[in-house]
Amino acid sequence: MSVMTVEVPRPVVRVNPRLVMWVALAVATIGPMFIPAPGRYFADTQDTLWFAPGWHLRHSLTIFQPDVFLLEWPTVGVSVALIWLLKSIGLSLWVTQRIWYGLLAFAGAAGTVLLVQELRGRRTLIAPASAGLLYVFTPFTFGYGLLYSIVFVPYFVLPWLLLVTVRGLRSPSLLWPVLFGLSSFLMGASNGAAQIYALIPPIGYGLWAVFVERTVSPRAALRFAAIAGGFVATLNAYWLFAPRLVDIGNVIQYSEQPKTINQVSSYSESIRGLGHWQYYGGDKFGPWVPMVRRYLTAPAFVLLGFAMPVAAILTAWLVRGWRTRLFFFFLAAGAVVGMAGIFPSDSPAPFGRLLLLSYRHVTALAGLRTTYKLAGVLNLSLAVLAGVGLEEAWRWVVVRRRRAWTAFRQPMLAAAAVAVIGANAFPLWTGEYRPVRTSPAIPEYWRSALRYLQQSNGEYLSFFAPGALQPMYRWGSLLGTVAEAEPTVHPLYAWPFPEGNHYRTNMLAAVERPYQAGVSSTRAAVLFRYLGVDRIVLQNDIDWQRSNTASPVDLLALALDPSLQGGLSFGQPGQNTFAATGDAPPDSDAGRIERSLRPVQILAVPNPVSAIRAESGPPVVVSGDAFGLSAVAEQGLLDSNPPVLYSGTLNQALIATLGKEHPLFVITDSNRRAAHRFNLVRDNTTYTLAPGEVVEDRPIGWGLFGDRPETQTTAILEGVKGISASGYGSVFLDQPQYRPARAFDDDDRTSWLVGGLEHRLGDWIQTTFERPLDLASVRLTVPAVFGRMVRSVQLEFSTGPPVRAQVHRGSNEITFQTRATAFLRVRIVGVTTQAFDNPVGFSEISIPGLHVQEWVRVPSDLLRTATGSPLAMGTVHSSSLAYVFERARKQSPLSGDQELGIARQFEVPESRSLTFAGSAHLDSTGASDDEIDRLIAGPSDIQATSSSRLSDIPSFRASAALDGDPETAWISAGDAGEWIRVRFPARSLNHLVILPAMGSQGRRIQRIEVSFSEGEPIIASIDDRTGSFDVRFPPRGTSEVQVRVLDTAPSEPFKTAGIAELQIPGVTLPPVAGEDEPPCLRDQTFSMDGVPVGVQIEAPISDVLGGKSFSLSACESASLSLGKGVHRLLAGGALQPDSIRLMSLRESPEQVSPPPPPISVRHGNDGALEVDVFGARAPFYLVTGNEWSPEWRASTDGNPIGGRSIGGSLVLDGSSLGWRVDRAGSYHISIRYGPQGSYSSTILLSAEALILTLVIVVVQIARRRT
Amino acid sequence: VRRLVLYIAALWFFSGPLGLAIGMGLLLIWSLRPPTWAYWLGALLCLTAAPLAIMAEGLPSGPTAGPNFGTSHPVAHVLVASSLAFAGFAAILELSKKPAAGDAAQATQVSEPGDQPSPTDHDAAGPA
Repeated sequence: MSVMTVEVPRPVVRVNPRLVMWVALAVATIGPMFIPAPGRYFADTQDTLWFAPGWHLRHSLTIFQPDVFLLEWPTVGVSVALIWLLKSIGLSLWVTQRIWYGLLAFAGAAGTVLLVQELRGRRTLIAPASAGLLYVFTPFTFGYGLLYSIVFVPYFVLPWLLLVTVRGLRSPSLLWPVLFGLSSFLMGASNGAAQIYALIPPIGYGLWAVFVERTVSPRAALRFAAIAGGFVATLNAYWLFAPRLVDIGNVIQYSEQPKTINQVSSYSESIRGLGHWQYYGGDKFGPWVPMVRRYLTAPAFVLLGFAMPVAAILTAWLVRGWRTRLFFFFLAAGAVVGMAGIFPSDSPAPFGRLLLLSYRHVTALAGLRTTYKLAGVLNLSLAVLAGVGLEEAWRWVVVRRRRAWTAFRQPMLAAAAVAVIGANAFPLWTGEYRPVRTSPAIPEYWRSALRYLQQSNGEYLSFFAPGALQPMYRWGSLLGTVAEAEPTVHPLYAWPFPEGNHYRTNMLAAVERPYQAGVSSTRAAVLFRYLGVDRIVLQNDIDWQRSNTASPVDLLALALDPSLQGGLSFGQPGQNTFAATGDAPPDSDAGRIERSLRPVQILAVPNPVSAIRAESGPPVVVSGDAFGLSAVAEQGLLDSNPPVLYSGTLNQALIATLGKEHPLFVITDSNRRAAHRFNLVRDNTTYTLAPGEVVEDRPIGWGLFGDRPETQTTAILEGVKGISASGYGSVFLDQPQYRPARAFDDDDRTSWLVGGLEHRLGDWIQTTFERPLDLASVRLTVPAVFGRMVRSVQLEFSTGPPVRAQVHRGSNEITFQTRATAFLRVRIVGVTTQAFDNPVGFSEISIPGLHVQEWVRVPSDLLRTATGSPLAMGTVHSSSLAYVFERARKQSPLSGDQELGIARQFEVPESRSLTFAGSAHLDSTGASDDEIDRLIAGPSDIQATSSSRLSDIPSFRASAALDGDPETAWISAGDAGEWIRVRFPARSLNHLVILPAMGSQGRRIQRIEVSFSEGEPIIASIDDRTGSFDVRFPPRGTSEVQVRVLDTAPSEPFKTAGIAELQIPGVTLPPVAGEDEPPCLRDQTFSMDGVPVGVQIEAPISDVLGGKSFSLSACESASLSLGKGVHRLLAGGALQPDSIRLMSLRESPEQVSPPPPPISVRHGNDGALEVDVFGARAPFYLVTGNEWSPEWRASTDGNPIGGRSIGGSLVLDGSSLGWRVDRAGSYHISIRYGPQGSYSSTILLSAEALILTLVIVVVQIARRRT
Repeated sequence: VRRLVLYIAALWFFSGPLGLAIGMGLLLIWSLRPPTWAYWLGALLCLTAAPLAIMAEGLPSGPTAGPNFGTSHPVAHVLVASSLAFAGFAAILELSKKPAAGDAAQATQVSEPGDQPSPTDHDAAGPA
């Protein structure tokens, strides 16, 4: 028996190398996304996209977004849909995010692979795969793309666009132009510039194929372009044809500007995919974009960064027979030039100048100023060239493998390719990809707080304080506030970036002022009610230093506001409320407070009013902006929540109509003409500018009321034509306390300072005279500041040579040959060298015969509008009128006050009798001893003053040594050299007794010099037995005694000196009773048109000296009679006014306004409001809670409310959209946003086009298969 | 000559005085009638020198590069501008010649004789 052995052939496993390539590509692009920071959320584009994509999708159907964080992003639904799908299947946030990133990268790589295969006409591996990886792993991907992945989508669609273009030009099929449209649809509507830039390669290729390669007829190209263009237009109609132009305008005007964008975009930076300005910036906490730092700093990465461009040049040079390589070379070169933009921004090339010109005059082109987004075009060109070059090099090496000496080239080539791709992708595989803004899971205490807000909210909003451009929490950072993670709590917060028509931004800035600027707040609830807020969320866990916003201690201004109520707190005391290092020491007041606070504190607004409401009663018409509204509220004029209108929005007809409602017109000194920095929430505003004055290219104000000059508060200089300077304060912050006019205000306490943190020799200040002056001398006062100061100056004139001079601390008289000059410019040409780069300048520039007074002129829009209409003027004449002026104070707790007093110019419409009221405090820093005495005790023929007071404390003033009480004393801020001086009616003296104050080691002063108005001074030493100075001398007549400290006890640890009693026979200043009120103050410090106004302090003297704020009134309740015309109020001095109110009340009929009618509101899906009004009896105001926008329309039964005659919609209560409704009865009001109709139509059009597109694609593919 | 003048004008337009200077340099070189590959070589050398220039002009030592990084590396900027200008001119010269026979077919040619199909080619297929 034989056994047959049958060999079964082993199955041959044939691995499809292309399949392997695709799998490897997927693994290489998706897998590494999971390596960096697993479990953490990377702040990307917008938080709601990730935390609440479903909510976001629903809101995508509405073009007007009431939520500030949606204003720019209503139309990104296409991308969000995928994120929503991923989250809907239960994936966690971070996994969803990484899959999204991976899918984007894979899509980009896959598109590049197919593109290279199409272009090369062969299905190889090396060129497509390497090009795909080189395209998706770039510095641009990690430094910008993944941080704004929704904006980045066009980058990954770009190869597909080019692919279908190449195919479409070669094939007459309808499929390709349709796919082109579909690809453009997939790019989404997130940005605009990225989408436009993505069209450059397809358009360029079309031109190339027609005119250079001549492989495509113009007719075929036009046919493709027409069909593709049609599908692009219809598929993207939802964002192309119905954008919110106001928000696009905001972004263009207030976000990054060309000079910033192209600050670093040199050719050498751009060609290696860098050049984006954010890569190079940072703050004291580190670089803004740490992921690209290594590309900038490590030599190896700098070298490898040029590998792709070098490979591209080699390919363009050496790979013959493939002419398209030159197209990609030109595309890359064009992209580099485009990315460079206007670089160097201080002397751009003609191309750069043309760009600037077009940005300035064509809004659509201004949207393309973010030239760094051309990196997609550059990277694709370089990747294709480098990939093809690599493959050709590989082929070349393989062909020569038989030669032994070239055998090593193949592994070297592979290693080089891996090194370049690996270097480009290093942030992923090393796990170094970690944006500055990243967070773990949101803390549990926040989840509890948000749940609480969700439960308690209905018709109200929750206000999150403090605001910041990009808030960062101590536990991590989202892109915005934590509220965006749960948008259903209806959050409201002060984002400084101007949104919409800026009324809401302005209002929120005004709401934030107490805690951002560090000024007191007593009626914050009034403004919160107008905003429809019922809960205020204090975010004590914000990393306020990194966020550049208010600290938890600053937020106490709200917590301690008597108009608000305490509520719930969340978290543990001290949890995330302070930093381990760098914050206030634990034993300081601030440190203790920070450690005792809980991370989330919720305050309640008593008696809140719904965001959507009806109001009635006599309205308050404010001339000014929301800061004026805040001032009016602080005066108690809004306690009853009356409707508030801005006079800047009224026309004559409406003013006339208001007459029946007995309004109160309030003219404020707000809406100041000033330049702003809208990236900061504090120290962001210049000094008040003169009419027409601008500061560099910074935006002026909030642009309210159409920027009409009469609606603005402006500065007027009296005595000179103008004062200007090369700069002032710091370049990083606004410090109006150092403005140029401060050098000409006859006040040594104030200064013009410039160049903080900089070394800018050549800075100058100039005053232009009203007419040429004969000038022969100038006195410059260099302030005694800590750190460096001016050492030498150059005086420049309109005629004659400049004069150079050395200066020193204090007063410097500079004389020169007399000359007639139209201006004087003082240029700093030398400063002392110090380690501390403090600003330098002058506290005073005195020119003989020149006196400068700065006035602030309040808005005149009310009278300008009413003038010419007897009815409107009649309303003004018959109505109550008030003027509310606030001293411009500091903009952050550590900054200085812009104004030391109140100097206002205002206009009165007709003769009026006005009551005077105000609030003030003792200016203990600036007031001299005798000024304080005069303030609290009235004029006296005995005046005591001194060189200084310890810590400027009023009770340490000179008169404390003359009150006969050894328990009180004059205490100076220094020791040797300090003096006390007493002036009195002349008398004969022959001895004095001086009792020094006790120091910690005994009597402080050891030796003194006593001088008189007559005769030689006397030097005396302390009598150790009595512990006093008994100074005896021959009788002499004198009206002044001055005691100067010569020596103090060396053992004393503190450098102070003091005199408890200065006994001058017959000269005493009896102490004042602390509980008494000061007498009427009547001098030039408070004056109207130069005439003193008697002012009564309504507080006990002890409160005045204790530094408390107090009320002011006119002495004997007298009123001021002012005639028609312009008036000037001046208030200042030791009694520093904070606010002043002048008020003229008109009697109104004793009729009680009927309450507003009840209303019910329904929200439509498209943002519309349907309001049912029940039993209206009189005109009322309907407030919608939305920010005002002129496109809103309201109608009753098809009839528009508030026709043209009264201007349609109104800005009510500071920022809200509303209407004055004068129809009685019960009826229905429909409120619709005008552009919503066209937006809905375009959404429908895009949806129909999408369906058609998909049908065509399916049919075409089916046909091709059959 | 007309193309060169236009090219120099374009260089001036896009790069200002720098472009004009590079254009003058090109004019000078062009007057020597070098072969096209010399422009490519020049472009390559300039581009290869650019990273070296960046390093020579100083890499940031602190955590941030600073907003003056671009203007403080002028040599690298000039080198890349020169490289693009040279390469662009070389590309224009190539385009002005008649396309090679293989160009029309979009096929890649390896310039050495004895070419064989590459082992990296799979499922080689023409354009769809």
